[in-house]
Amino acid sequence: MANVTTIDLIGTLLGFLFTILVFSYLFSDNPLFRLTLHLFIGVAAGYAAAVAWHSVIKPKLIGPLIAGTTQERLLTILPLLLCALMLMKISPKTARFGNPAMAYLVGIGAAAAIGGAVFGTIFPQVGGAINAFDIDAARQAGLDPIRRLTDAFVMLLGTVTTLLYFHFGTLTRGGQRGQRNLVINILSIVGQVFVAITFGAMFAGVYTAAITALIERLYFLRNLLELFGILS
Amino acid sequence: MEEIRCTLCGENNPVDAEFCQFCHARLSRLKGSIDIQDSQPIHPGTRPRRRETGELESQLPAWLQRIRQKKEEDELAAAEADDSDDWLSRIKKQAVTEDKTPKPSKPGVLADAQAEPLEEIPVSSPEESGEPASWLDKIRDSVKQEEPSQLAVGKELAAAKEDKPSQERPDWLEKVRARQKEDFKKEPEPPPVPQDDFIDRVRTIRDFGIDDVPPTPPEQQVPPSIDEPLSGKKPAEITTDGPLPDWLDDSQEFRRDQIQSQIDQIERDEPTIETKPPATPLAQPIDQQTDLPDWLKAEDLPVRKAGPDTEQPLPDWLSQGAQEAPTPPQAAPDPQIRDSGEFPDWLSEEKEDVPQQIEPEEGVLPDWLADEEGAMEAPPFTAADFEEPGPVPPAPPPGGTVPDWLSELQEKSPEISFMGSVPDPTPSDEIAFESGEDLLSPPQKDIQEPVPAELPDWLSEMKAKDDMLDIGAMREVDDDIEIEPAELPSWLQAMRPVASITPEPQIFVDDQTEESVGPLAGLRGILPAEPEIAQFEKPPIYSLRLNITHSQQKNAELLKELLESEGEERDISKRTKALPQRLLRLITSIVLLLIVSVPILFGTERVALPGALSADILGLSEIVSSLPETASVLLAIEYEPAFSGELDAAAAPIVDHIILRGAQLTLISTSPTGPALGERFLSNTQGSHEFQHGEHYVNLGYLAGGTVALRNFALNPKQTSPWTISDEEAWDMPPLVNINSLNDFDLVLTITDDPDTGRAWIEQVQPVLEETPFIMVISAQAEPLIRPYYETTPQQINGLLTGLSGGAEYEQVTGRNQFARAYWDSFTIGLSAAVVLILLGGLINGVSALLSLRRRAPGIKNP
Repeated sequence: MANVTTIDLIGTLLGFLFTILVFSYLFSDNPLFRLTLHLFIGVAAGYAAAVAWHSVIKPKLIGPLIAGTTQERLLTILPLLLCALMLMKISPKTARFGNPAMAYLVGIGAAAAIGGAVFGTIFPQVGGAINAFDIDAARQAGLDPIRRLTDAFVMLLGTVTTLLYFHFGTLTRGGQRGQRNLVINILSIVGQVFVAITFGAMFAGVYTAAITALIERLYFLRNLLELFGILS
Repeated sequence: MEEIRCTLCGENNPVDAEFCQFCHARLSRLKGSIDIQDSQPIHPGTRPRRRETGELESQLPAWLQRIRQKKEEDELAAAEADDSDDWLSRIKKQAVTEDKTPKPSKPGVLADAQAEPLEEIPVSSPEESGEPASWLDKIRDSVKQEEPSQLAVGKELAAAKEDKPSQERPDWLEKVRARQKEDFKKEPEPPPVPQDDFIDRVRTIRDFGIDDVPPTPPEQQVPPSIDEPLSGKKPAEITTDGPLPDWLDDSQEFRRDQIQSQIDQIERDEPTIETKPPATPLAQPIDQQTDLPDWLKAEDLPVRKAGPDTEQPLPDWLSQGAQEAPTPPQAAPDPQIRDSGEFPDWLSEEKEDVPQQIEPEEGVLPDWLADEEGAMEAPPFTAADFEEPGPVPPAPPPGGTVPDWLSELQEKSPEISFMGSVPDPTPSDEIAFESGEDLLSPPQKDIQEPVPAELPDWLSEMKAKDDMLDIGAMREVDDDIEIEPAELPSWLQAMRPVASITPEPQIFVDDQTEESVGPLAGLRGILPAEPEIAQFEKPPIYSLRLNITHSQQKNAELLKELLESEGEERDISKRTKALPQRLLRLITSIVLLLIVSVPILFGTERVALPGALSADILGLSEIVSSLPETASVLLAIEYEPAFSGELDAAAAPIVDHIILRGAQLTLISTSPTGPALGERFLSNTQGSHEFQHGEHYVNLGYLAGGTVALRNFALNPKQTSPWTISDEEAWDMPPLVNINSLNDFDLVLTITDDPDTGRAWIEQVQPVLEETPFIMVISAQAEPLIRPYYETTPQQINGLLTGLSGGAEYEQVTGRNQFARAYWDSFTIGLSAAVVLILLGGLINGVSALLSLRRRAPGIKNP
């Protein structure tokens, strides 16, 4: 207790209190839980605003305008104009003036995201799926070729069958209702198994993350109880 | 090029064409076009201008003027030569004088109407009119063919005979007869045009609905002896003086016998006659012919009122009509005249010879004159009604004194002429009177000559189609006789089709349908007789069946089923709940809390860490172990506070290993809470290293802009994040002194709980890195999406550490037990409890489902 400052003690007590209030949700939704929820949201928003001011607006916009060189000031005109236009989105009457700034942001963001997805995900992943059957590479890497080949086949089967599962196209013949092709239907069932395994893995990961967070909170409570001498 | 459009066939013809090239109808008017309102076109709605007939005197045909002039000269010469006291001559003289004088305001028909009462006096004689003696013989011949209705003639003759004062013929009558014989011999044949003009009139009447006039058979045509006086001679008048000539006595004898036989015939056929309509429509009273316009009826009345005391020119057809129709009674002598004994003797003898049963009573008007029943016996409308009234003899009788009855009639003539005979003239009628034109009864000034060209052109055009065969004859007549243009009455100008006379460019109407029936037959572009709405047509039948394919119909039915199913109530099967959901959730939570809390509360570390390290952890530890001394490591804190417990425990071993390797850290985050979490991470997990900001690590703070900011930071880190979290120059601090680009870092470590954030780092930053290893510490929930980047070949992530398990493994590499070991028992028990709960829950649901299936299966009785 001697090393704990007052601020840390207050923070730890507030942490303990809000942790118990969040746990109260196990019984039902209650005002204490909602109070805690709103408090967290408010603190997070306030903190984000403070960070934006201290990390972005002040050093990158206000600072150059006040104490920057002429070149820095000129460079801040365009961001300042875009910010002013973006602020017009507040009112519906002037919202259309913020469209250029919004278009600039969306355009730049879309370009970066698409470029990154194409050259950072699609092409490398397609190449990785193909290269999984490279036995020589597996041998050079010291891996068992058969296992590597088996993994590659399962991965290919999972990829293909999962994609076929999301293929809902049907053929219409003679005015009858469309039915999926039998082969595609069987493969889609296999893909459905892979999708189920994937969702199970994701659920397990979420549960693992949640149980770890719970353990951390329980450890926090235990440490606090130890701090106050309740637990030894 | 200007063209003239034929009003008959509608075809266009050259301007100078006189006759239509297609139908040969006359295009232009006769020579000397009508001077109509100073050649101003007549527009619809224009009120006609009043015209006086006195103005029209100068426009009379030349031949008519010559005939008139000659007639006047002859009469004047005869009057001067005779110089007798013949009152009838004076009357004629005065009449001629009146004809010369233009009538000021009420000319034409109005004047005729004023003179009509005087015309009823039957005082003219055949000798005075210059009619030869054979005239009456021919009448006798025609009388032989008369219908029984000519009984009125017998009445008239009988009445005249009774009133005849003496048997001797006066001298003046002898003179007149002699002069008439001479005139008859010298009188040229009348031009055929008047007859044709009369034919036009009658055809016009026929077009107006009286089209039942049968063609006149040759045997019933009026003999030339009648045509002669009709063509210009003054009608024979019966004198009251002088003995009856022999020829007249013979005829009287014959006629008396014939009339007696006809009277007997009438008495036998009287019922039939009373109910039988007249033989021809011409015999009908005009006022009963509804097809005639009002103006025509109004003008006919005074004409009918005028007695048939004078013989006027009769065309052949009219003579036939007169023979077929009941002969109207001759103007009955006024009682005063009869009493005064001023009728000639021959007329008195005729009266005496008439049988007694048809003789009217003394002092009383005859029946046919008194009431309408008399008109049944003697229809009032006969050929004589179409005759032009004779000159009014205003002069006193030969005796030098005017009879009283004549004086009274003269005084009352204006009132008598209109009262009861002419209705109140409408504006159109009034205009018609003022115009001085009468189609059926020419003006009084024209009584001695047939009236030519009195028929308007538009009426001629109406009948032009019927007169196609007569056009040739008309053309010859036009060539021989130059007909003076007639003045078009104002009322007729208003009625005339404007397009036919207007010089303006004509607007052709598309609807040029030719009328085939009725009085407007032959005209084009007339308004329809009945509105188009009355022309009922059967409406078309449209099929209500849609033209769709079978598949479209099936899709429509499917859509209909979907829409209908949304409105249907579905029976929601009640689920049998073993326990309330809230209680189940509470129990589950309590169980997990207890299971997880027990190891923490008691601080037990009984569950062993993973024995064999995975290849992932081994590879990751090799990367960290390969870091050079005083290496620069970029540490990205990309997780939220909620996952700090997991990621702090997972990342703490590897960061501890990095710090143990003597590396300097540079913290950066694209999350606003990242910089604070980084500081907390270092303080909570790496507190033992006593790291100092600016010396051992640099916190670049928050990187605003997300993916774009990451790309920019990967390309130009100095300009993107020039300051630390404490607003200091970051790139001048010891950890970043030798760093100019991202490849200058020895290791890039990203700690994230969000797969999207981890993918952003992989997509935007990893491609920029060349030799710098890129490793990630991720949450267990992000592993399924991030691991492919690690498993692929070539690897996009060089090392991956996942969750608490990964941290626990890595702690074994470093041999430094930290959070992972502390959490491991609870973590392991918690996962096991979760597995048990999942299996238990699945088992319970499976059993309940199996039980429900057995209940629903048929043949299985519920316990």
